[in-house]
Amino acid sequence: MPYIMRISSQKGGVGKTTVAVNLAVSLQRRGYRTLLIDADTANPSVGFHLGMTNVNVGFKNLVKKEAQLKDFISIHAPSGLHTICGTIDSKPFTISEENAKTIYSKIKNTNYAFVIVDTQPGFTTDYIAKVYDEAILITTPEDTAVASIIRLAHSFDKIHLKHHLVINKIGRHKYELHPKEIEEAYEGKAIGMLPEDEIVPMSIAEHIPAVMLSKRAKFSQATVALAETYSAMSEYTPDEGISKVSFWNRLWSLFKRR
Amino acid sequence: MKGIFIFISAILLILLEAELLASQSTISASVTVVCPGIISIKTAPAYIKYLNLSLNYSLEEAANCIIPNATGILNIINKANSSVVFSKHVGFYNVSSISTQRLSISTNSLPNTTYYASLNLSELGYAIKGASSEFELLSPANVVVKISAYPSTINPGTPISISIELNNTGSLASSSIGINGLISGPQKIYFNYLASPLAPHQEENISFSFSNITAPGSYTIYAVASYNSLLKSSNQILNSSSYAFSSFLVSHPTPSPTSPSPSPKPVPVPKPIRSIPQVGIISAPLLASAIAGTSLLSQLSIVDTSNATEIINLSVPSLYSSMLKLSASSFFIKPNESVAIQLGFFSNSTTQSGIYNIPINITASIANKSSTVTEYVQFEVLRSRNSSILNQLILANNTNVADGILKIYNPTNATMVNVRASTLIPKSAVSNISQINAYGLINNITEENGYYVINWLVPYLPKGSSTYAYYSIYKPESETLLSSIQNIMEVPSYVKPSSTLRLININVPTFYANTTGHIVAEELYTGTSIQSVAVQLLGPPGISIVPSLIIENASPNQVLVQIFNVSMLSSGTTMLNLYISMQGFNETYSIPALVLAPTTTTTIPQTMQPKPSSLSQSLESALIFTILIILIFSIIVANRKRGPRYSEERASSLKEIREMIKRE
Ligand SMILES: Nc1ncnc2c1ncn2[C@@H]1O[C@H](COP(=O)(O)OP(=O)(O)OP(=O)(O)O)[C@@H](O)[C@H]1O
Ligand SMILES: [Mg+2]
Repeated sequence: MPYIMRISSQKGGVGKTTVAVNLAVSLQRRGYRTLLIDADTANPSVGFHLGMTNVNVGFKNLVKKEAQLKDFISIHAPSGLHTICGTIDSKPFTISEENAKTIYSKIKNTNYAFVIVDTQPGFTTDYIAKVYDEAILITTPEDTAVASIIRLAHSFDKIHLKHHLVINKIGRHKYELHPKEIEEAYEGKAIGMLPEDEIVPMSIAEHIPAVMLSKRAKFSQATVALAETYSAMSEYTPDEGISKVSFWNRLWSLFKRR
Repeated sequence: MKGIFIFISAILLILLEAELLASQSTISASVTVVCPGIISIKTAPAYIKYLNLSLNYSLEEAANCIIPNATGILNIINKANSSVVFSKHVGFYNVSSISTQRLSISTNSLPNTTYYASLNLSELGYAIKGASSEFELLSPANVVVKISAYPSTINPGTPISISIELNNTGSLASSSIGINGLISGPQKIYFNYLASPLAPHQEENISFSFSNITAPGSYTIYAVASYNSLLKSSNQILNSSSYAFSSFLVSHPTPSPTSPSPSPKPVPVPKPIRSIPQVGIISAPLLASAIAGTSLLSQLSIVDTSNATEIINLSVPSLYSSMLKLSASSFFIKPNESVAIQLGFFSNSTTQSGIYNIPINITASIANKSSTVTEYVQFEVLRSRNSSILNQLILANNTNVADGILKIYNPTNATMVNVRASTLIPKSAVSNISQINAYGLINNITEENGYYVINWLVPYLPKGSSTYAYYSIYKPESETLLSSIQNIMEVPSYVKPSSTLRLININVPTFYANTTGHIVAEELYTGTSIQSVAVQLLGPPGISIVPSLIIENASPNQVLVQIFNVSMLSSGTTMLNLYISMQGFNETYSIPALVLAPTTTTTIPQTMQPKPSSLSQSLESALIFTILIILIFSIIVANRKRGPRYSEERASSLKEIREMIKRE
């Protein structure tokens, strides 16, 4: 069964999409079959990060139960990552409890090692939050962001949803919060600390994930380290030949009954 | 009196009851009896193979009763070895008089021999007597055609005799055989003949002679035989046809010794007829791109769409004459005949890069009337680092793999065929050729002038669609050199949709006198079934072409490629003829091939500036050739900024906020 993670923050622009994309690509490249879902129904942006803005089916169609899961998956050819992109149209939409449950059961029946869901900022209704195995809370070293993370952590505690903290855009500015201050407020260690790095805006402009654009960039190294932490927790063993198998075979094998 | 009446009534009643009892006993006795039936099966004495075999079988009640339910098996058995070749469960229900059923099966997989059909039925476990019928399966008439021409080379206007041999190798007689013939070449002659029916294994020879063939050149004779096989007893008829072809040459007349120098032959101008000169363009290059200093070849095919022979003159404005060379500039073509002209694009290392819109003026004339069309070809001269091409490559993490994606897009509203692209990877960037893996499109990897070249081929790209190719370079030697990978799209041409088979490319090299070169012809087949295609290249006497005839099977959407080894004799323009034939399709192309004497060099006027072309802009913007290959190395600059200090104060204020949130 795949391990389903949501990337959350209550505040916008803290780097949820950046982390979701780069973590997903890193896991995929380590040999873990990964599915990245853009569930930001208001402002989907995974497509921009991956250079896949022309994909015209995605999460919205899946929610509307228009066909099977595999019909909405597009493959990011350079990494082999499977994605369900957001469709770029004007109207945001909402998900009912029934929708959430059917999507969850469809996803649970695949054999991805990880499913990473990028979400829109803000609170989530309990029934949606419950379908996840864990939430990654993203904050930047600013008190406004930290305060919002604490609020989210508190609400997830109430529904017993496991969560981890990732601090993003650590810039080593004097005015920033110190990571230790954030960890104390959160009452737990951060699972990842990602530096502020020019490679991120560059990678968005190039439509190539930062970890692929430069493996030596600090942000990439920190993200790869985060991916390592998650791979160590996975019950799956990495697939060595994953990048050698044809995309179609790989896609097909995911839906074959075991 | 009253007493007698009662007595009589009592007797009547007793009699009546006795009668009733008696009738009841008869009814119950008849229920256990099997109602007898008769089976019959009726086949024709013979059937034609490849047509369906139909037969009737029936069950008839024979004793004025009802057969409620009779079931059994119908078999078709090969008489020679008693094997069952077909078997079917059959059933009849509530048969009160006669019930007939019909079977119709294909004979395609059955050998030609004797069979019998047998039917056995049983009713309530009691067998009804079975029935069978014998029949034979016969192969239809099969007329094999052979054609030959004698002598193989004639002088203009001398007789050529053509002999056609027909042989029926089937086991049924043929009907009378209609022969439709065509002598195709610089002159076209149609002929017809009706041959008498042929009995099985009977042969017939037919000879004709023609002495009106005067135009020199190579000719192909085609003969198609159409006939049918008829079997009266089964009321079956099967239409068939077969064909054959052969070739001969009409030699050029030797120049009369009095003429001072071999002057160009006077062009035979047809008698004044009211015809409007017209040419149609069959295929033309869309965009030819080459790196400055290299040359490349493309082709332009035109057809005479008028109803008379036309003189065609082609010209390129002098400004471009050294950039675009044509293999022929003046020739004549007959109605519906096509000519493929080679275009040679040349540039040198000082040619300004950009897209040149080069006009080719095509003038067609009949008698003293003429009409001109101008076809523009785009020639893109690329610098080694061309700004219109985004050179990017993704260097994969850990694995030391550089991945490239190539997108080829057709922004035009015509179908592009035979799009070729090359990816040039500097040799020193890769340790060895096996470290390059290309996939996604038909490709091969070659070594040329310090580059590994991935040659990509897209046989067929419908309008507005795109296709992708991928490649990976394992363990790149030099990351910096990867950034100089170049991608070039070569001459895609567009083709006017016509028949299911069309010539999409004919590659004629620039020949030098007394040398050998390869002429490559390519056709696209878009039919739905596998068809046999014959392609023949013929030239004037003295020119050797090996092989001259290639016959191959074309599958749907296949690009057929033929390579002819051609040795040229003297310099000048040599006319070659390419014949392409398939059932229901015959096309002839005249190919003027340029044969040069010594090596020529080309110079391009320095004053020439590329003109902005609307096509070029749309091509660039639509990224007809988008190359997403990125090479980016980030230099890790040590971060010298001082970091934040841990502050007790800030930490405790955050904790307070936390408590506030939790309190709600
Ligand atoms: N580590 C980083 N270093 C530098 N810039 C970053 C970093 N992470 C994110 N950014 C920048 O922050 C901006 C917001 O990032 P991103 O879109 O990932 O955030 P988000 O939380 O998904 O936003 P939204 O709430 O709108 O979905 C982007 O412009 C990105 O370039
Ligand atoms: Mg986002």
